[in-house]
This record gives sequence, structure tokens and C-alpha cells, in this order.
Amino acid sequence: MNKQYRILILISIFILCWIGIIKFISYYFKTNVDNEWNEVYREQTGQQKKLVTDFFNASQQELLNLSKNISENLNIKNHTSKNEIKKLFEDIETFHLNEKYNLEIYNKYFEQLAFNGRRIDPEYNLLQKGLSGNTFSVIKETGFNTYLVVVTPVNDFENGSVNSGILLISEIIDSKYRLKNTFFSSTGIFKEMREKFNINPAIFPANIITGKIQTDTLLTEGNEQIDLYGIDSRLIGKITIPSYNREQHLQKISVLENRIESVLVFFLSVIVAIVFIVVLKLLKTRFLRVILFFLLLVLIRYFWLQFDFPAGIYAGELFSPSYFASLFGYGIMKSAGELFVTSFFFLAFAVYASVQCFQILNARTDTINIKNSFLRLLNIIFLLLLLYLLIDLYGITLKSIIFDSNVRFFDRTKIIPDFALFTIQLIVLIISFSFYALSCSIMLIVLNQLRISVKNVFLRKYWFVIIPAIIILINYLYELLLGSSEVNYVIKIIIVLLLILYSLYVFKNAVARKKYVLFSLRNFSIIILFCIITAPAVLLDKIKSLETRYIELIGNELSDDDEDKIIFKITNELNNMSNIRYLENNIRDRSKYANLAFYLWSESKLDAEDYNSAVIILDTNFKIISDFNLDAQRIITDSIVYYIKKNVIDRKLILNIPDWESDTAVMEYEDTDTVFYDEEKEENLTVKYDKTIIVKNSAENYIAGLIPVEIADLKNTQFASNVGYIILAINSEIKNVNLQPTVKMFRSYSRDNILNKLISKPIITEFKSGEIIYSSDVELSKNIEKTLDYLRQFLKDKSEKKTWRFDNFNNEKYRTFYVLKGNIIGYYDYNENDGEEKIIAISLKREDISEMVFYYLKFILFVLLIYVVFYIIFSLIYIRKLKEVKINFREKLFISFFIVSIIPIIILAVYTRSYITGKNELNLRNQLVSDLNSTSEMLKDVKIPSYTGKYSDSVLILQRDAVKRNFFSIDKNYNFYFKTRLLATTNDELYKSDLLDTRIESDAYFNIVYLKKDLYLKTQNIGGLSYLVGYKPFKNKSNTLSGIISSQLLYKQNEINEELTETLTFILGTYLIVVIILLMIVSYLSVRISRPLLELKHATDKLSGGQMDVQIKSRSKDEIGYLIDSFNKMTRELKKSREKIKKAERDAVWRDIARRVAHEIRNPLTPMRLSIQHLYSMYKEKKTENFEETLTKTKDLIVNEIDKLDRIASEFYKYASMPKRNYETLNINPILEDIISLYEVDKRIEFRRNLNPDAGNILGDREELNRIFQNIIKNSIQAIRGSGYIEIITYNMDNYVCVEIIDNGPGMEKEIMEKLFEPNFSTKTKGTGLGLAITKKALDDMKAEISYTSEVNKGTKVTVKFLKS
Amino acid sequence: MYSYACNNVFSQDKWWKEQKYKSENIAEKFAQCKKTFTDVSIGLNRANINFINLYFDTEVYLNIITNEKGYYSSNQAELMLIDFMEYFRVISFNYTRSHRKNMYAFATGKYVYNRGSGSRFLDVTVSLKYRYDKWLIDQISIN
Repeated sequence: MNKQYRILILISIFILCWIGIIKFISYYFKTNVDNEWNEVYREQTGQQKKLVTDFFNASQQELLNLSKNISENLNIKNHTSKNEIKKLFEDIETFHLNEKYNLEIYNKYFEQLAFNGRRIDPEYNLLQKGLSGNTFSVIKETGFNTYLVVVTPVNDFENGSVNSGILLISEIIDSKYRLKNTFFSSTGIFKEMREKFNINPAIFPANIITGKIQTDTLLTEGNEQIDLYGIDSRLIGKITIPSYNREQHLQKISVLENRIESVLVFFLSVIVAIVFIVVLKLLKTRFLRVILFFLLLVLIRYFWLQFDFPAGIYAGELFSPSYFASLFGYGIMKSAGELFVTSFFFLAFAVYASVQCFQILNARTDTINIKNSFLRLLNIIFLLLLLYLLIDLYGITLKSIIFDSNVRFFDRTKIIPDFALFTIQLIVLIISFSFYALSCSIMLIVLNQLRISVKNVFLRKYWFVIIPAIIILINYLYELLLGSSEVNYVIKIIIVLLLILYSLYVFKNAVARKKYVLFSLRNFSIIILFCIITAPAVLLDKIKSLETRYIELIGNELSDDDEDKIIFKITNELNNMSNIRYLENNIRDRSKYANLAFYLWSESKLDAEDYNSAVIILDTNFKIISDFNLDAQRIITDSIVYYIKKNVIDRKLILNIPDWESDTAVMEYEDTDTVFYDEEKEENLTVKYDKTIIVKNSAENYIAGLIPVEIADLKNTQFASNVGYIILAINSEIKNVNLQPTVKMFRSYSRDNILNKLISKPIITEFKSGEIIYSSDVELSKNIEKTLDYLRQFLKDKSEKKTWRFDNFNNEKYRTFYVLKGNIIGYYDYNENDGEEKIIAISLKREDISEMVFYYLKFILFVLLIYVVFYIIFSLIYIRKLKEVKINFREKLFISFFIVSIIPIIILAVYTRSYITGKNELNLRNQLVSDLNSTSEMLKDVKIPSYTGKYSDSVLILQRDAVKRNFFSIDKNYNFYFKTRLLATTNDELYKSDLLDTRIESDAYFNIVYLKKDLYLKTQNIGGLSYLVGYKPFKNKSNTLSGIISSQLLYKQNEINEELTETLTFILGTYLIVVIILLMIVSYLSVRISRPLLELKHATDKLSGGQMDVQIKSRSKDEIGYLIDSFNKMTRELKKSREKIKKAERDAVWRDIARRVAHEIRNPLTPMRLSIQHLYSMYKEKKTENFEETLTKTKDLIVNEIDKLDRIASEFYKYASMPKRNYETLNINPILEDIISLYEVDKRIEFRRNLNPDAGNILGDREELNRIFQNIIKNSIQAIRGSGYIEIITYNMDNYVCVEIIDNGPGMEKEIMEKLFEPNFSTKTKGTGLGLAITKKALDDMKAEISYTSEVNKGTKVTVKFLKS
Repeated sequence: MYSYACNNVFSQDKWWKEQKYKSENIAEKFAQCKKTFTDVSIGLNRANINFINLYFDTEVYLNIITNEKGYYSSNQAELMLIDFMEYFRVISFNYTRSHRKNMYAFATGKYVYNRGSGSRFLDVTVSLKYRYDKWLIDQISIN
């Protein structure tokens, strides 16, 4: 086993050990908690207390420093002394105070001079104490906020020992808001504490005069108390934090244990995956590899799930089911986070499968060895079935993502999606990407199968008809057996077409090119483009397909009789409210009246309902002491109180002794035998229900409940007595379903309702006795009204009392769902003869193209964002890989084209955006100005005292009522400020809930009153919502300033944002599409221009490689065309001249060979001729002596010379002949060993072997190799004069197997070395000079290299380099 | 503990008053209603979602202390309730009062749980609606 894997396995064992150790340690700590609990408790509590105290003191110190800094400023001192308010406002401006600080400056007469931020409302004694020269801090409750206030005296400018004013700076510690949504988010010091230390503190201020602290017993129980000391070391309040308990401690240990474990498990799974993938590589069947890899991923996914990874590390909202949750897969999709992780696993699988498939194509082998054509066809059908199921699975997954998610998928208010939507969209993109990668792999295998079916011509020829035909058949069978598919036909066809086109493209490239890269930016971009085309289409199709279900759901909800539900809610909530101790304590405290009703309302569950509701608190004399009304124009507080007084209080129903056995009352009502008190109208009912009296006012369309507030300690005793009463009124209208802005602002959740799941807003109409009583689009409703009579009859005859109808209004197609209300047979209806007949119509545009385009563009914008991020990452990786960045001609061309084309578009887009935003702002401004002007005009007859004049409170109250009356006559938002205080408003709810301060904004006050501006606009915030406010001075008839009117676009802001987003999306989206098209054109152009140049380059390369018949096709007749023509001409000329040279060379070689052959043949001929002539002369002269001897000699000589001739002939033959070679993988060492053993008989030569057994194998002919090395070794032996040695070495170098043969012979001179491999060159008298030439030729054939190095008198080294097999 | 809690549900009849109805159909309808409420309470008492998810519509309105209020899909509602019951370990759940009408029925109860030192309680309101000839959960509010 490789060393690396051994290390990995060791690490895994180490991790497993660690998991064990952690489990043990955790167990140890958990079991020992009881023994050491006291110590742990003391330590943890002390630590928490210290954190809280330190943080509070630091905030206090910061506030003090700021306060000192301002109060010691010379300008502030000077202007305070001189009461120069205007200048003081300007001075405060220079400090650029953080928004969290509020500031007020008073003079020595305790008159407020300048201010900033929210009001502090200091008590008289506080200011007095401040003026006496003390710097101190207090904790003060104003409205729903608790402030830390630092009071500092401001010294007189001229006489430093006297104080001329007081400076107050405050910061919010905590807010008492019970509502939690975008608008009601708590701010202040405690918020920071919660975020930083995860401690949940509560504050109890000390009474400013007495210093006593009233702590709520319920809150102090089980809590730790921390004393807070002010700057002057006085006790100013208490903070309570939840006591550290055992369960919390154990949980802390468990969380830590879980976290460490999940990280370790992650690393362990990574190691297992690496090892497994290596093992997978050993498998030969790729199909099996893919299956096993899939199983591995499934295993790891569930392993992670089991060990809570990554949810254990990041326990945010992402891993809670509130964004998204599906029960599919036993938990792998139980939250958006888990789905995100799962989608990455899917991506990993898709990529792995693609790689395997691509390798199959590259290897040009078959996937499955099937020879039968029919079986092959079956295999193709199986693969296409798999593909079809994958498309369906894709549809199911996207469906689940939409319908198991609470994310508002089609958010119209923002271009850049929020975190939740971003995550969900990213998941959609990952899943779509993986789907395409996987589907393409399947399609590639199909194409490969078709390619291999060489014999089946039909399959090969008509594949593009056969594939869709098979898919259509599968689709038909699927729908026949399993019902309708999850993906629309058209989308399915588009997906299949895209898949075929892309797969064909990849397939052709992979087969044609050797170096086609799968992981390229081009492939990535194409798949992303596919995702852009199909993912929104599938999503929109899904939403459309379930629109019917949702509209029916809304219709049913609307047609339901809400009365029971409302009565239940009222009784339930009133019961809960009357039990709140806070109410009993505060109902007697006049200073707490202002927000009391809102406090009760926010504590109730009414904020979760689509109702208009109002809470009114009455004292024992039935006078209003506090009220909160969600929409004062719909349910009027005074009217409710009057009505209840008339029907309940005046009739003394409330004095009835309550029936303490609540069930009796419940039963009475359930039996519908409840006591009804006769009313003027039949519809108006009064019901006693438990302690609650319920009244219904049909004329004003509300149901109200009244409950007495009893003294808690005396409840159920004979001394039971009331301290006041609570009235809760609810008005339910269809209008509320459309989420009117007021209700939305106060709803405690910002997630969607069913309407948000629809693409376009439905138009809801309610008809009562044939007349429209509510409509969200009157024009359309009037069209519906025309055919209502016929429809009513149709609905009455229908058993279900509901129907769908297609309409065509104003050339636009609608479909409408009609429900007849109050008469539904089949539900055991009791109210058959109620007489009240209502029809509810919900209309929806059928083909809302603009909406679809909007969402398409929004998705494209999102994908582009992701794409750019990936592009940057990809480029960085690419650049890092390269040692130096080389941009070739084509890229340069592309970049320059792209820059030139995109710059004007960017400029245009930026300009359009700013133009639209500017235009939008101007419109809003004009709207505000005209609204303010018309109000100003409307109020001109109202007598309001001027700022300088004298007035009494009663006059002011009268004026307030007058302003209010006028306000209610118009449908706009207005506020009227007298001096700095709010006199009247159309949006009481915003001030009563303390969302807005009742003091005017300091900037507005300064600009209108002191800078005498005629109009002042400012953007203000409530929580996360920004809105524009306009201020205008109100002047009375004598043209003196008597108030400030303001109007805010608060409730319209969402609509405004939606409009702006829509316009910007359309513009940016269109530009984006233009950019994408430009990119394609630019890419095409750059390819077109650079291609001939690239071809020219390839042709030149071929030419330099010796290929002379290179010709390029010329496509154009421009400069490049001429260049190509010249090149072609040049190659033709070159070819001709080369052929001439070759011929000349060949002639020369032949001449040389002929000369040498003639010379060689002539050499033996001379001795032969001489010998025969000598023999003949002996015979002629009859010299018998020595004749026989001479004959023998002559014969020997002739035979010898004939042998020589034969040898010469065979040597030449060998050189010229091309013997058939048998190449095989060989180890060179045994061959060398054999040769050495042949020559080892020669004792004068010492053979030194240095043969490396790991040198590796080579590809060669055994016989040939034998001859080659014999030749080389023989040469070495012949070279050595006397004794010597020959060393033979084999070794491994890079991709080569090298053989070195070294001798210590006399060596060679340079001139000889240069001619070594020339035929007929030899230094030996007997040699033919062909040995090394033949060796060289044989080695060339084996693609091996031979080289000689030699030094005279030292020796020669021959190196032969073979390529490794 | 579970068996105790379960018995407790059946024994606490105060919240539900058996009545004589005009027809058998109506009697059957309200018997179904009681069964639905009882199943929900068994589910809460045993911390077993399978007694509750039978009555989920495609969308369920949830108002659980740990999450944002709103309409959730039945899948989400199921997992959210599981999360809730894991976090707030039940000691007992009892209905305190109920109210039923033609198409709607409501019940409120106390969910006593163990978290940290000692036991605390949450108010639970379950409302049912009569749809497709059966009682389905319209809203669950726990806070």
C-alpha cells in the first residue's frame, strides 16, 4: 500500500480515537456536574454578571464622555447662555451625532432650546438637579423605551461658576416591544448584549425621586439581579439575567461536544471518500464505479446527518424548517441548509458520472459489451427511461422547493434577493446544473451506443428521430401508469432538445479531438445558459399549475363565516388580557396610559391576524383612558364605546354576576341557546359568554367584546371589584386579505401568506345582493357584475356552490373563481335561510407575460451574479497555474471587442438607472408637495394660535379636534405639529405604538422654523423600512407660522419600491440579455477572425515538421485570404524543390554505393585473378613441384575471397532490407546478460554489470535488440587492445530506460565520431562500415536514441535511450 | 409518564360537553371533531407527531414561540412541531376549554414542559375547520 494511504488510515484511526475521547470527557463532565455544581454555578454567574456590568458601565462612560465633550464646547456654552436656538441647532449639527444618541438642551428656565433624536421628557426635578451643578445618570422609561440618560450642566459662557443650561444625552437600553418583525426590532444596549454574550437581560429602573426599584416578582424569580450604579455612584436600577441552571450547563457541554464531533466526522468522511475513490479507480467497470460512488455519497450524507454536520456548527435559521422543509429522504431535505448540502452531493455525483462517461468516450470503448443489436436498443431505451425519470425528478424537486418553502420566491421589492431567497435560488441553480450534467452524461452514453452500433444502419442513420420517439413513448406509458408528469410537455421538449444538441457537440469534440477538455469555462457557461432557460420556466410552470389550488383555498377562506372564529378570538384574548398583572398595576397610573392599549394589543395574538382590531381601556366610569386602533378610519373608537355603552353598560348587563363555571357559559353558547338581547336590528346581537359580553354591530361591521379588569388578589371573593374595562373590537373584511398596509406594518411576521405564492395579484370582488361591496379593481368588477345574474342562478343550482369561469375583459384574458357564500350544502349547513347572499369572485390574469418576463429577468440577474463570482475564481485559478500570463491573439481580440461593445452599454445602463431613480424621486417629491399644499388649503379656515400668541390648553384641544375632523375627510396620511409636539394625525397607530416619536424631527423643525424653508423633505426609517417625509409650514390668515404639516409615504413605500424594482429589473435585465448576445457575437467574430491565422500557424508547424503537402482552404478574399494563397503557393514550390534535392541526393548515394560495391568487389578479384594466372602459368610450364600445394593455396584464397564477396553482399543486403519485426514488451536486462555470457569467454576483458532490476520494460524486437547490443559490445571488445574492461549499466530516467556501455579502449577522435553512423565508414581493415549504420536504423525504428561520447586514450561511452513501455 | 399523560387526556372531559344533536350526522360530525382534538392532545402528550399530522391540510397556519408565525406547508409544519416538542419536553398537555360551531371548532389548553429548572407552561390554541368531510387543523398556536 502506498505510504500516503497508510498515513490517511492512521489519521482516520486517530480521529476515531478522538471521537471516543470526546465522548468520554463529555460523559465525565456531565456526570460530575452534580458534585461540582455549586462551583460551576458561582463561576458562570459571576462571569455573566461581570460581562453585563462591564458592558453597561462602558456604555455609560461613552455617554458621559460625549456629554462632557458637548457641554464644554464653547459655542454650546455661549449659545445656551444667550438662548440662541438657531445657532444651537447648528452647533449640534457639527457634532454629527450617532443615530443611537438623543440629545436635549434646556436653558436655566427649563425651556427646551434644541434637540436631536427621540424625546426624553425629563422631569422638573431632574432638570433642577442638573442645573445645580451635578453630572449624573438615570434610567428612565419613556413610552416603550427605557433610556440611560446622562444629565450634565452647561456652564455660563461668561461666568464659569454659574450654570446657564442643562444638557441631556440618552441612549436606549431596551424596548418593550413584544412584536418582532422588520419594523419592530429591539434596539439599544441590551440588543448588543444579547448578540455579543447570548444573555437575555431585563431592566428595572429606580424611581428618579425615591430611588426605589419595583421589580416584577415574576421576572425576578429564577433570575440573577445586578445593581446598576450611575455616574454619581447612586443606585439607578437593576438588571436581571436568567439564572444559570444545570440544564443550560449540560446543554452547553452537549453543544460543544456535538460541534467538535461533527467537525471530526467531516474530516473522517473526507478521508474515507479519498480512500474509497482510489479503490474505485481499481475497478474496471465504470458503471459499477458510478454506482459505488453514489452509494458512498449516500452513506456520507446520512453519516453527516447522524452527526449533525454542518447544522451542529452553524445552528442558524438556515437549518430550521421555517425557510424550507421536506420530509423526503429521511432528513436530508429537512431544512434549507440540509437541502443545500444535499444539492452539493448531487452535484458531486453528477460531476463524477460526467467524468466517467467522458472517459468512456475518450477511451473509445464500449460501455457494456453487448453485441446483439436488439439488446443494444433495449439498453438505449433503458438509458432514455432513466433520463426521463431524471427530468421528472428534477420537476418534483423544484416543486418541493417552491411549495415546501416559506420564502417569498418572487419578491418584487428588491433586485438583490435577501439571504433566504438567495439560498433557495442557489439551490435551484445547483440542482439544475447537476441535472444537466447528469442528463448530458446519459445522452452521451446513448450517442456512444449508437456510434458503436455500426452494423445497425437504421439506428445510426435515424437516431435523431428514434431518441425523441422513444422519449415520447416513455412519456405516454409513464402518464398512463403513474399519472401526469411533473414537467410540462413544452419544457420537456426544450430540455430534451438542449440535451441532444449539447451532447452531440461534446460527443463530436470528444471523439474528434484528442485533447478536448471537459472542465472548461465554455462547457460551464453552456450549462449555466441552459439553467437560465429552463429553471425559471419549470418554476413558473409549477406556480401556474398550483395557482388553481391556491385560488380555491383563498376562495374557501373568504367564503367561510368568520363570526365564530372572531368571537372565539375576542373571548380568548380578552380573558388573557384581563389576567395580565401589568394592566392592573398600570390602569391606575395616569403616566402609563399612553401606550397601555398598544401594550395589550401587542401582547395578544391579534398581530398575527388579517383583521382590523382595536383595544380600548375604560376606567370604572366608562371613560376612555387608553386606546389603540389599527385602522381608525375603519373602526372608530368613539363609535364602539358609544355602542357598547348603549347596549351593555346602560342596560346594566355588565353588573350580572359572572358565572364562574365557565363551561356552563361555553355550553350555552355551543347549544346556540345563548341569551340574546333584543336589538333594534335583528343582525345586531349581544351575547354573554363567560365574563365577556360580545356585541355585534352589523351596520359598522364589527364585533366587539367587553371584559372587566378585576383586582387579581380579590378575584373570586366576595370583595371582587373592578378597576376598569377592556374592549376589544375586530372588523373582518375581505379587504384585509389583500393585506392593507396598516395591518401589514403591525403583523408580527414578514413571511408570506397564500397570496404571495401567486405570480400576479388576484383581483378580489365581493358582491352582496348583486352589488359590489368590495373590489380591488373596480373596472374589472363592473365587468363581472354584468353577467352576475346568470352566474348566481348557476351557482345556486350547483351542489358545491363554486365554479371557475374564463372571461375576456378589455382584451385581456382572465379566469375567475366564484363562490357563493353562506349556503353550502354538504357541510350540514344551519344558515340556509340567512337571507344574506354573497358572491366572492377571485380573478387572475391568464397569460401575464410581463410578470413572467420580470421573474425571468430577475433570475437571470441572480445567475449572472453567481456566474461572475465563479468566473473570477476560475480566472484566478487559471492565472495561478500559469507561470506567466499569456494572452493569445484570439483572447486579445475578444477582450478588445468586448470592452468596446460593453462600455457604451454600461454607461447607458448607469445613466438609465440614475435617470429612473431621479425621475422617481422627483415624482414622489411632487406628489408630497401637492398633497401638502392641498392640506394646507383645506386647513386654512381652522383657527390655530400662532407660535408667539397666547393660548390655553382647551383652545388647543378644540383646534386638535378641528384638524382631526378635516383630516378624516381625505384619504392621505398627514400629521399636524404645533411647535414641536404632534397635535393631530391620521396615523394614530404609529404614534401610540411608539414607532414614531410624537416630537417633530429636529432637522425638519430647524429648517422650517429657523431657516424659514417652505418645504423640507427627509428620508426617515422605521426599522428596516425607509420612507420619504415632507414638511411644510402652516400659516394662519395673518401669515404667521402656526404649525407644521407633514405627510409621509410610509404606507406607500412598498408599492414605490416594487415599481422601482420592476422598472430597474426590466432595464437591467434587457441590458444583460443584450450583453449576453453581444458576448456571443463577439466570441463568434473573434473566432472567425483568428481561425485562419490559427490554421496558418498549424500549417507552418506541420511544414517545419517535414510535412510538405500542407494546403489551407481559403474562405475569404481579403488580406488573410491573400496570405493563405501565398502560403499555399510557397508550400507547393517548397515541395517541388525538395523533391529535386531528394532525387539528387538519391543519385549521389547510389553512385557512392555503386562505387563502393565496385571497389569492394574489385578488391578480392585481383588476388583471385593473380592466383589463377599463377596456377595457369605453373600448369603451362608443367612445374609439377609444389603444384598441388599452390593449387590448394589458390583454392583456399579463391574460396576465401568468394566468402568475402558473399559477406559483402549479405551486409549490403542487410542494410537495404526491411525485415519483419516482432515488437513486444521486454525487459532489457536478460538480453544484455545473454550477450555478456557469449563474450565472457574472452579472459582479457572484464565485464562489469550494473543492471537495475527496476529499470522498466521497453517495446522492441528481441532478435533486433540482440543484434544491436552484440554489435556495440563487439565494437568495444575490438577496440580494447590488450586487456581492459567493459561496464554495462541500465537505469531509469524520466520516461526512458537507458543502457550505457562503457569501455576503457583507446577512444575516438572527433572526426571519427562525426562519421560513425555513415554507411561504409569503418576504422577496421576487415569491416564493411555497415554495422553501426544498421544499428542506428534499427534503433530509429524502435524510437530509441543512440549517442556516443568518447575521449582519446580514456574510453568510449555508448548510451541507448528506449521509451518506457 | 406517557401513559399517565395519555390517560389524562381522556379523563379531562370538562373541556368537552357531550350534547344531544338533532341528527345522527351532526352527532357523528362532532364526535369526529372531538376525536381530532383528542388525537392532537395525544400527539402533544406523547411528543408524537403521527397523531397530529393526520389532520394537516396542505397549508397549516402555525404560531409557535420558536418560529415566525405564518402559513407553512404540511411538511414544514410537521418538522417544526417535531423541533418544538424536542426543545420543550412535554410533562403534560390538557385542554382547558373548547368551542365548536358548524364549520369551526376551537380548543385551548396548557402545555406544561420541562426546560431548565422546574416546569413552565405555554398556551396552546388549536382551531379546526371542516373541509372535505373531515376536520382539519386550521391553526395551531403555542406561546
